[in-house]
Amino acid sequence: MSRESKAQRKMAKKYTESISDSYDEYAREITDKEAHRDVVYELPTKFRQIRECFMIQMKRYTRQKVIWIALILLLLIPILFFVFEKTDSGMLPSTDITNMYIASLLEFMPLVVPLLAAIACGSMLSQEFNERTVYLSLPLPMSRNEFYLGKFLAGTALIEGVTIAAYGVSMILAMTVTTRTYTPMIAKSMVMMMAYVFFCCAITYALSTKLRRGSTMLPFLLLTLVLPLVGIILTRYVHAGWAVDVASMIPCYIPEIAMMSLGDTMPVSVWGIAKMIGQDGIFDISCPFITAVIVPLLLGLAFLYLGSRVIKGRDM
Amino acid sequence: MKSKLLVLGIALVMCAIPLMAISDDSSAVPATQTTYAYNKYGTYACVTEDARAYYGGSSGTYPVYYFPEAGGSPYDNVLKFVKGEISYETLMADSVTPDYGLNYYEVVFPLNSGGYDIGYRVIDVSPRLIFLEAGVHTIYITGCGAITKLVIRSADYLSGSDYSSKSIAITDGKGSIKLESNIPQAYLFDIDYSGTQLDWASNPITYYIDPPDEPKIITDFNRTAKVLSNKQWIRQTSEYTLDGTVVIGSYYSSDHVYYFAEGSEKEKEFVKNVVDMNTSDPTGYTDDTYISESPMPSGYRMIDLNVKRIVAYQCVTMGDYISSNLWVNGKYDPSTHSIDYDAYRNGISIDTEKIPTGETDGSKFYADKGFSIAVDYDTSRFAFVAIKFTTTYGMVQYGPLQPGRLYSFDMKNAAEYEIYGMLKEDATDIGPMEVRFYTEGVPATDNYGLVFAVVAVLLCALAFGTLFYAGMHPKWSDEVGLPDGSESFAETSDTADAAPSEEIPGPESDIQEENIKDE
Repeated sequence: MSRESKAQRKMAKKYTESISDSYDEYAREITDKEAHRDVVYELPTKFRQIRECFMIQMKRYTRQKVIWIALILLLLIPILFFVFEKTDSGMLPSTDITNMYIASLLEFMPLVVPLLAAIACGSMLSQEFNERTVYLSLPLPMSRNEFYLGKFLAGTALIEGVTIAAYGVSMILAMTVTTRTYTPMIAKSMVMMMAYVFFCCAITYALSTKLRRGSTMLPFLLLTLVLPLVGIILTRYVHAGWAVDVASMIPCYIPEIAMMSLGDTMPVSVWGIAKMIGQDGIFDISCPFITAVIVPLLLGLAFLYLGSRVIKGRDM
Repeated sequence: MKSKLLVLGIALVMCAIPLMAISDDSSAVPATQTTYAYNKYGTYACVTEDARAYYGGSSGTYPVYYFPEAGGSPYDNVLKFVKGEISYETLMADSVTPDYGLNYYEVVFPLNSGGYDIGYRVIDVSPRLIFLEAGVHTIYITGCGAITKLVIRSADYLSGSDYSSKSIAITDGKGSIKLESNIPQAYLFDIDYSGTQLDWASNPITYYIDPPDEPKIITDFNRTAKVLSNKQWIRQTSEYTLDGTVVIGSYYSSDHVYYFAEGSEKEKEFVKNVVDMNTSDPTGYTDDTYISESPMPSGYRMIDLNVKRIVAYQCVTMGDYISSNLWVNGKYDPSTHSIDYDAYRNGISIDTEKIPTGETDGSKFYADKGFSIAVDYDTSRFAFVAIKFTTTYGMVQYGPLQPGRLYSFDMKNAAEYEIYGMLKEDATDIGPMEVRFYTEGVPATDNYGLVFAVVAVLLCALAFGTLFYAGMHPKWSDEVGLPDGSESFAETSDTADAAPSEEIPGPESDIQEENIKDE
């Protein structure tokens, strides 16, 4: 008997003693159904893929700063309301109309919405690439499109939720000190703002597909500074009716329109500041409700599509 | 890169084409618009097709028209239509300021008694002239009363060409006619008054146009309001003094509306002492002042006294009325010549401090854009009905609403409007009375605010609930539907956030691999 065969027998004996292979026995006893034999499992549906990715991103948000920023901003509304009410500082309007009161409570929405959208959607995709976590997701039965869409929906749902919460909280607070409410106008304003949130998230998310490290500042500046200035400059130097029509439809003015539909006279935004300084030289933004909702949605979808093409063509 | 730009371009164009159509809103400034206005006597003003109408805005209270410099003398055109179609007392063309390569004309419609930054045009629901877009339109006419014959004429009022005419048979005060045109066309309704005397103010003829087109034609009064009315609103003070030349104004513009019994001594006195003196002001501070008169229902006459471009420090704004200062020979002397213009309210005016409080029903509504309104009320009880609104600068303004007219407001900001009733001087009944009115797209106050707020909070709770659920349930991926105990792809994804496992496969793993190989 050679040394090798001895060693083999020794190893076999050792394994036989230490391993109790009950798995095989159990497998023989269970039915085909219990053992999932001859069962064909299909890939999860697109909806499920999107949902999984949506939930993953939501889970990631619980560990990120954007949720805290959003919650703090939301909490500021009632805090400032009670502080200003108690101190009678004159910061709050003396109107008896809920709509106008809400407009003053949500004065900073034209700046806050793009900021939150930029934080939430500006870098979540690039984070996946930088941290290499995307390479764990994409080899799974999940298409790139569903991965891309699921993450976007999570970001949008979060900011939409914050926006709706801001309206709801403001409305409840305002109704404690006012007597007359014109609900359809508030609903219209909120729907316009929600459409704007979608646009902000979409353009921010699409931009992040092209940026290696993602960016919060770039989309924020684009939405709050560059695009409004484009509209102002366009109407300033192109003296034609179409210039005003086109500029009014740039979605960056939607929050101003939404706020003014509530009764705000001077929104806190680039356009509002320009209007305050330039007066007659700055065009009056005016946009029908349907346009104010459809334009940002369509443009948002267009940007999403461009972003998805970038992701599809990206070399992994 | 090209394909991306192409896709983006196509998307933008696809968005823009339908949206340009959708955005054709009445509040938007149209590229080309033909505009007209009527007074109760059916006189009209029309502006050339090249004119660009613009209402409201900071450019002024009144319609402003821009004419291209090329192609003749636009100023002549303005004067032509002003002088040719309407008497100078009822319509005026004002300053000419070159701007943007266009000449700038301000045309003042006296029926406009709105305040600064507010513009509204008056379109009679008993118009004699209607502009229709190209197409087929059917016009239904009601309220013709005893009139038996109505002639409709089409004409190009710009070129002055001859017009063709059609007769409309009127039966029981009603009639209809079908009109077809390939171009935008103006139609003049010529009424045969023989044998009847039509009271335009209380019994207007109404035109219904199918399909509806600009201008809007009222189909019916769709709302009713219980409005407050109080005799205290009627000022009957007649004490005032006046000496020298008067300059009045506010920080922006002042617009004072006074109402007098037509032909009364008070009216004559007012016109003599205030109107005449303002129009002959030697100081030059009242360049933009104009006086306009307009008849009102029930024999009242409205005098609209408007002053603009006054330096702010000269004036003090006191609530709704203007405290003014007196200038004598170009020198300001407040100690001796200060005069409170409120004293001129010797006709009927509105005193905001004495607006009664109480329950109203449906008299308030909210508008975030331009809207039209027409009212119908018992002119034997009301002196008139007024609409109250707040301007951008917080100034409360009132505009009288005559029955049988359609008023179009073009507001830049959302505001609450309220309808008030003004009682006649000799009226005795005080309290809410009914006013029927027509308006669209302007909601009345409601009680759904709390429900909406709760729904909003629930919606946001949904988003935050999902967030909470995702954060608290690491095993949510079990629902994927994969075999129990097997590793779902979602679980694998979930672990993606965690640090990579540092567990090193033990000997058991090796043995299993060996067993597989053996098999």
